[in-house]
Amino acid sequence: MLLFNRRIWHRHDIAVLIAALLISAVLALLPSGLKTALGSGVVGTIFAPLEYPASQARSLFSSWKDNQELRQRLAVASLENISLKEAAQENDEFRKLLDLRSRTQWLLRPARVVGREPSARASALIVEPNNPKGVGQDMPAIIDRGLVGKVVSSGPEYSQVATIFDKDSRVSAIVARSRVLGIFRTDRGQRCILDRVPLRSDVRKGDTVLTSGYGQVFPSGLLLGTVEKILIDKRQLTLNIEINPSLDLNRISQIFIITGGVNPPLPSLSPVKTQDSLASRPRRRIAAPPPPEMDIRLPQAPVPVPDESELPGGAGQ
Amino acid sequence: MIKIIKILLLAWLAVFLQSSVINMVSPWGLMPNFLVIVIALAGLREGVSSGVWAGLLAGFLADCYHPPTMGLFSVGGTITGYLTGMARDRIYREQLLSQAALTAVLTLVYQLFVFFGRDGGTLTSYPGYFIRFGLGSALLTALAAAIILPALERWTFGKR
Repeated sequence: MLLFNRRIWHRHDIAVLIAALLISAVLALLPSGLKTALGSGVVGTIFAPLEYPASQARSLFSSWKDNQELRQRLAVASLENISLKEAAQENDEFRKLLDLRSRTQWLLRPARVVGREPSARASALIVEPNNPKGVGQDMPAIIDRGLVGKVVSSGPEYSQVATIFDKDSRVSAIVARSRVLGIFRTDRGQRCILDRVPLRSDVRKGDTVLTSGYGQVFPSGLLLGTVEKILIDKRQLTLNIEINPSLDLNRISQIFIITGGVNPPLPSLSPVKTQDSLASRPRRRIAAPPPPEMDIRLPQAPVPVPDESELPGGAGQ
Repeated sequence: MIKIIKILLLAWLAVFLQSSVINMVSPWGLMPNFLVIVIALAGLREGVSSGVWAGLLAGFLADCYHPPTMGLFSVGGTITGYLTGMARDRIYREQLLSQAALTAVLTLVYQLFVFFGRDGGTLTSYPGYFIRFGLGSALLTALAAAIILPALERWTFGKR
C-alpha cells in the first residue's frame, strides 16, 4: 500500500514536471517578437517601479569611488584641455583650407534603464527612452564613459539594448595609441577581448581601446576599455588581448541613444548637451585671439589627411 | 494560499535582487544565486510540485530579462525545483548544513543552463568556467542560503 502510494506520488510529480517543461517549451517556441514584447512587458510592469530607485542607489553607492577617480582625471584633463583647444583651433584652420565640411553633434535621446538581465555583465538592458518615437534598431547606446551597446528592439514604451557584453556582440575597435585594429568581443560573456590582432602589433598594457567606426554601426572614438593582459595565440598567429571594459553596468541608471547626426566636435570646445533640440547646433567657436598671419601654400600632391578618430572623443566627419 | 503568495513574492524579489543589488557585491565576478535559494526553499519544505512551480516561475521571471532565450531559465528553474523535491527525502533536510550543500549543488545545475544555454559555452571550456566562476558562486550561494534560509522558512511557512 505504501509502495502504491509512493508510486502515485511519483507519477504526480512527473506529471507536474512534464507540465512545467511543456510550458517552458511553449515559451521557447514563441515568435521572437512576442518573446521581446512579453519580456519587456513583464520587466516594465513588475520590475521597473523598483529598478529605478535601485539603480539610483547603485549610482550613489559607487559615486564615492568615482569622486576620487574623477578628481585625479580632472587634473589631467585640465592640462589636456589646454592643448586640445590649441589643436582644435589649428584643426579648424586646416579644415577651412581643405574645404572640409564642419562637424555637427550627435542627436542624443536620453533613456532610463528600467531593467537588466541578472548577471554581472548583463548582455541586455531594458530602457525607457524619453520619447520612444525615432528610436530604432541598431542605434548605438552610449554613456559618458563610452559605448554601451546597440538597440536590438524598440517598442511603444520600452526598448531593448544589447550591451557590448552580449556574446554575439562584435565591435570594430582600435588601439588609440598605435592605431592597431581589432574586434572587441566577449569570450562567452565572461572576459572582454580584442580579437584578430596580428602577433607583432604594438599593443601595451594600459592602452586605451576605442571604437574604430569601421563597422558602420558604432561611431568612431567611443571608449571601450583599456588593455589589461596580452596573451599570444601562436596557433592563430594573433594576439589575444584581454580588455578591462570601461562600461560598468552597476554605475548606470541612464543612457543615451544616438538617433542621428555624426561625431561631435572636440569635447573641450563644446559644453555637454543632451537635448535633441540642441544636438544639431553648429559647433560653438571659442573666442580666441586672431592667429598670426601664416604663409600657407597648398602642395601640389594630395596631402594625407590623418585619421580623424585619433582625436579624443572621436572626430569623424 | 498565503504560502503560495509568499513564494511568488520571494521569487519576484529574488530575481529583482539578482538583477540589481547582488551585482554590486560580486567579488571577482562571483555572485550568490538567490533564485536557487528560493527554489530550494519551496522544494525542500513542500516537495516536488512546489519546487517545480517555484522554479518555473523564478525561471520565467529571469527569462523576461533576456527574451531571445526565453524558456531556457524556465527549464533550468523547473529542473532545479524537481531535483530539490527529489533530494528532499534523501537528505537530512532539517539540518542547515544539508540545506546549504544541496543549494550549492543546485546552483551548479542551474549554472549549466546559464553557461551552455545563454553564454553558448562549449564542453571543453566548461572546466575553466567551473573553476573560475561555478565553484565560487555555488559556495557563495550555499553561504547565503545558510544565513537566510531559516529566516525565509520561518517567514514563509511559520514555525515547524
